[in-house]
Amino acid sequence: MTYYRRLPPFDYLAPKSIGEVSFLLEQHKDDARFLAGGTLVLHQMKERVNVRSCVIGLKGVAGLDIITFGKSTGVTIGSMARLQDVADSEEVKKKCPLLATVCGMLGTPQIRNRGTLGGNVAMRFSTSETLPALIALRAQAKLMAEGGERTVLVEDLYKEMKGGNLLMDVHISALPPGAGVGFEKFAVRERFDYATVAAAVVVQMDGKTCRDITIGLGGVTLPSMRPKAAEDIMKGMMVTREVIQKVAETAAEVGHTTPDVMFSAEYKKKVLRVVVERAVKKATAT
Amino acid sequence: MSRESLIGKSLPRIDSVDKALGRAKYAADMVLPGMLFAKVVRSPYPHANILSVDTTEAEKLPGVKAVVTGIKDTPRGAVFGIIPHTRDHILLPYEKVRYVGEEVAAVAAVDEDTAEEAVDLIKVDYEPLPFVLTAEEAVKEGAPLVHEHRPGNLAARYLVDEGNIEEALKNSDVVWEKTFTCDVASHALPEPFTAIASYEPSGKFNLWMQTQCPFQTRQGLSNTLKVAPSDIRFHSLPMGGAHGGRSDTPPGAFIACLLSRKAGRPVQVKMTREEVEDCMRDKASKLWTIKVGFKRDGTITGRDIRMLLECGAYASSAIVELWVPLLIDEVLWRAPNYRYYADLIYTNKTISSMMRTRAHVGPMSMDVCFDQMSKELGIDPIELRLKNAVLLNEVVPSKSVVTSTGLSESIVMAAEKAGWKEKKGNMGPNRGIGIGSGNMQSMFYMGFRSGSTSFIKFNDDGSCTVFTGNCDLGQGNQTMFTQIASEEIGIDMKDIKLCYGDTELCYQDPGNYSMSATVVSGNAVKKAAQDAKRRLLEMAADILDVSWEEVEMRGKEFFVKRRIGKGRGVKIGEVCRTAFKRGKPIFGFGDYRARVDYSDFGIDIKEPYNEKTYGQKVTAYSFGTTAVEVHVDPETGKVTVERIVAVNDCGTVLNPLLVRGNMHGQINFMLGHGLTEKNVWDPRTGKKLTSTFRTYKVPTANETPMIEEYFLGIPDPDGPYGAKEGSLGFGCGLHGAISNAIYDATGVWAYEVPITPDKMLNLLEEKNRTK
Amino acid sequence: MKHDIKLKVNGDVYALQVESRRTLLEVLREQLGLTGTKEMCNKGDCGGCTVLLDGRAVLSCMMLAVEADGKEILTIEGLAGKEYQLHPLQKAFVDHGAIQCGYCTPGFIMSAKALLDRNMDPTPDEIKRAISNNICRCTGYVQIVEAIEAAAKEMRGAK
Repeated sequence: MTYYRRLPPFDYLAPKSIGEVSFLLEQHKDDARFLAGGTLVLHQMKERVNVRSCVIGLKGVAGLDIITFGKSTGVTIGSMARLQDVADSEEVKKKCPLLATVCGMLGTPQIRNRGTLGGNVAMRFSTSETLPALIALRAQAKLMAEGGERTVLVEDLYKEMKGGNLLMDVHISALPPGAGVGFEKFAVRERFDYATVAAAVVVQMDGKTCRDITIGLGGVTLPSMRPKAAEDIMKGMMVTREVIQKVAETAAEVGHTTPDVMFSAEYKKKVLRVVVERAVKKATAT
Repeated sequence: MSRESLIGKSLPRIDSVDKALGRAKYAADMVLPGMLFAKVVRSPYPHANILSVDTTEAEKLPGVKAVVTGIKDTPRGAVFGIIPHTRDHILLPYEKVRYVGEEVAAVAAVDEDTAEEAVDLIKVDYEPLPFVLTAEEAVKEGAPLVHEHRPGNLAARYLVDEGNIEEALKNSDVVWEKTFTCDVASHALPEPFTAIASYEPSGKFNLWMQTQCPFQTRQGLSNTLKVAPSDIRFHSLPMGGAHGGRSDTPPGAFIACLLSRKAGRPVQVKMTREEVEDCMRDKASKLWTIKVGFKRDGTITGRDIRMLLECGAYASSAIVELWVPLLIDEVLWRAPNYRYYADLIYTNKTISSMMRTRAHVGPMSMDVCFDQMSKELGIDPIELRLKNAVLLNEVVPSKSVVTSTGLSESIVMAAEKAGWKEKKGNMGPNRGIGIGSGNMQSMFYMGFRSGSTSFIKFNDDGSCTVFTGNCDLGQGNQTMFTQIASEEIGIDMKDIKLCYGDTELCYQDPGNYSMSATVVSGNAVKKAAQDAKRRLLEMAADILDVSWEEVEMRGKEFFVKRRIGKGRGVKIGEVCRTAFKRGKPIFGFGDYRARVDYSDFGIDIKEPYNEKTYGQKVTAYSFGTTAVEVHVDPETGKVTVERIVAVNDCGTVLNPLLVRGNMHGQINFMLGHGLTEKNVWDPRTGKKLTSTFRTYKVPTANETPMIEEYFLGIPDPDGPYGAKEGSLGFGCGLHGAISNAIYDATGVWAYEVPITPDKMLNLLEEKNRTK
Repeated sequence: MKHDIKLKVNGDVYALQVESRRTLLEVLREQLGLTGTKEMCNKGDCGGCTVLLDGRAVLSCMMLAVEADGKEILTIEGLAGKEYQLHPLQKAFVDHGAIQCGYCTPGFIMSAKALLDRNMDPTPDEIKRAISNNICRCTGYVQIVEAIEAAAKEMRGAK
């Protein structure tokens, strides 16, 4: 058994355009992997996990890091936009505060300065704060795949995104005015650890009644990150303490937790209920 | 001497500037000319026979300069262990491996890339054996034996039996009994383990590596390499933290030496973070069952303690953990009848050793006991503690005498400063306050190393160099020694250079072991400085033609008191040069032998304390109490410590700036070990799963509570200027304080460490179920 | 695969040839001899390898050297003025006892520099947030936060 310090040998390639990326993928196929912010790829390769002989660095690809806004269409964030840039963007803060908040709280300053939104989303770790938030925002992801570009919901990425696909951008439609948002994360070290469990909630209210609600769960298996059964409990209902409790209980039932090094699946399920309840309360308080 | 005293002054550390500039060269930064880079082949099995090791392919790889295996290169009969009874560690084994990550072979190559490639070419044939991962499993009938010659996996046993505990408990009005547990905790040290060995043709080894005690580590290497100690030189260098985790002779150093000798070039063995966590040292888990007898009036009649301590695959210095909890417990609370029965148990896990938060379960158990018993007996908890607190000059079960203590004062002060009386029961839902007391030793018996010798040489310009065998792990020893020398001699700190921790240049010293730096090494420096001062005064007196008692020194000048304004003075440079001319160069020599009983320490599997082993076990004891405010989230179980009031009985505070910082470090460790740091092993493979800073949850700045520190300043008769160990003792009660605070907040008792959120939630749910 | 790159480190431009797999940390420490930036965990967990890249705090162990081509890098060695004149942060760390073993110190100082370059009047909470990635085992963080506050005060005063 060996404990490695050094990275294994590989070739670093730096395409300048999507076309060049496409070409390299065709050439190297399974021998290549993408390098976005580096926080995952280098970590894994140092541990000899997912080693490839070719690494395609995306930082030089034109246009991948741009953040654009449409008055009615919402915000589109290029996959190579750094998390800290998303958090600092005045427009994102104004038009999509939930995303700005989550990008600004994920990890640490160093991670946010290099980590990209696209890289973070493409990792598909439900313990990363961005995924639950993007799911709650019903965000869409544009993929470059074989045969061209396609758009899928972020919540479906786990089944729609295949190896070799490139995540190009994430699009969040403009929220109607008065939408309420809430986010709650549980971790042993709040400003350092990934979420043990988390919940992101976006609601649209008609007075005290909930017109629409979307929930994104963190720290659960990918297919169970969107607890529609829990959403259905609150849609069209007057929001009371009991309703919120039921939403949280249902979310904890359908959100599938798995054990990790520190906590059992049962404990995580209990805390999942708590974070959903707290996030819904925050969202409906606005 | 009435120039402004340095004692009690907050002075920055003398080594801080270099570290702030990034100039300080740690072992992990050093590159020697021609240095080779090593990589170690490690066992993937927790327990296995080594059948064969094939290095032929690795040796052929271009760039590989030396390969060593236990089978070919380990001298037979060379075993490491800090006491003869537990000499059980072959540093590069040739027959068996006993934990995942144990060393089997190693390669030295021209760069690390090549070494990593070479190590993958070494083929080892193992025969996996059944393994055992917990002390409770290891003591069961039929459990796999980690060491064949140790039935029941018992490495060693410590037994103290004073008075008649059975009678005492029978005749008590109340007997309180509980079991406490603490998990294996890790040091998680910043600087990766690095050992650079450079072998000379003369047969001498040079070492640059992190060690708390160069002379001890050298002795272990001498025994295992079968080379005279003086043929091994440890060089002095700054170190990236130790906290107990660098107190042994580690295999990495042994391997670096073997490779260097074979290759004829310097060799660096450097470990990754995960490698250090799996293969260096941890702190043993403990199962602590305690019975305490009380009279109605609150007096303790006796204590009966049974401890199961797990040391991992080899006894290492965890053996010391057998008796340290006793040394701590016996000087905190009186016990006319006392039984302490402690077993050290082998398991197939990472080796355990010293840890600055050692033995906290002991103080924790008594602090919980007092709070629980205060209810049952109807006596105020503070009063109950004060009633049983060991007092000054009391003789304790080992027949040690406590020669300075501020325990009672620290309890009263912590409670007062924290507003404990007003806040207890009144802090609102889910908030609570608790207190806990602790203790730590300055210098326990260490054979002929129970003392330190310091030497000072004066240069012709009036500056001097102080030699001390102790090293600096970052606590501030360099500054302390320089401060003491400056205080005694009277010259500025900047005119005093320090040569420390070099085994060739310095006299031997116990090192940072048994917290001896202040009382032992500090006293030796003080004596040497006093000696040097006397010689300076005598030489100046000779020059000025008076007797030395008439000479005064200020700044760099010596003058005659009764001739002020009338006669000439002489500067220190001239005194030193004259001294040379007269064949009497100025030096200072100081030896300090610790006031401990040079008797057998009593590690004997058969006999409890008796006439052979009674005696002063420790020179000075430090005490302290912490009051802790916690918030418990009732839905997630997360325990957050929000405020700590710490009262430190560390004698005279030589340098408050430094001691304050050291206290914060102790609090940080105690909080981590108490609330968030949990180690997990895979029961199927025996591999540790918590080997990174991400999986092993050490606290960050965001987990730091508000801390207020107070010092009692009660001088110790032995310590230099009355100072004694400054940053461990006060904090050892923190886990008891947390447990008591949790009860105040929630009505639930926690008897285990760490109290992670899931454990706390379980306890809360259990309480709600039984309501 | 080898790459020819130019790194501007502490004001000096270095023309280097690096393998694809070399991290920025390795190049700084081993090719440029700048060992002030420390290797602690090598996995991005501890902040010990923090440097400023175009003014932002980044983990040099989690960055390929080739991706730093053309960038401006500031390491701990680049903070002090001529003749070791300490930067206010360095001075404050020394004066406030914030350095014990000192191994984590460069990482903390660079994280703090990144903070103070943007916000010279941070609250204690903002300071703690800025040093979230930096692990220390010796100091318990209290004197580190005090030092950063003091440095910020001095830098505000000097302005």
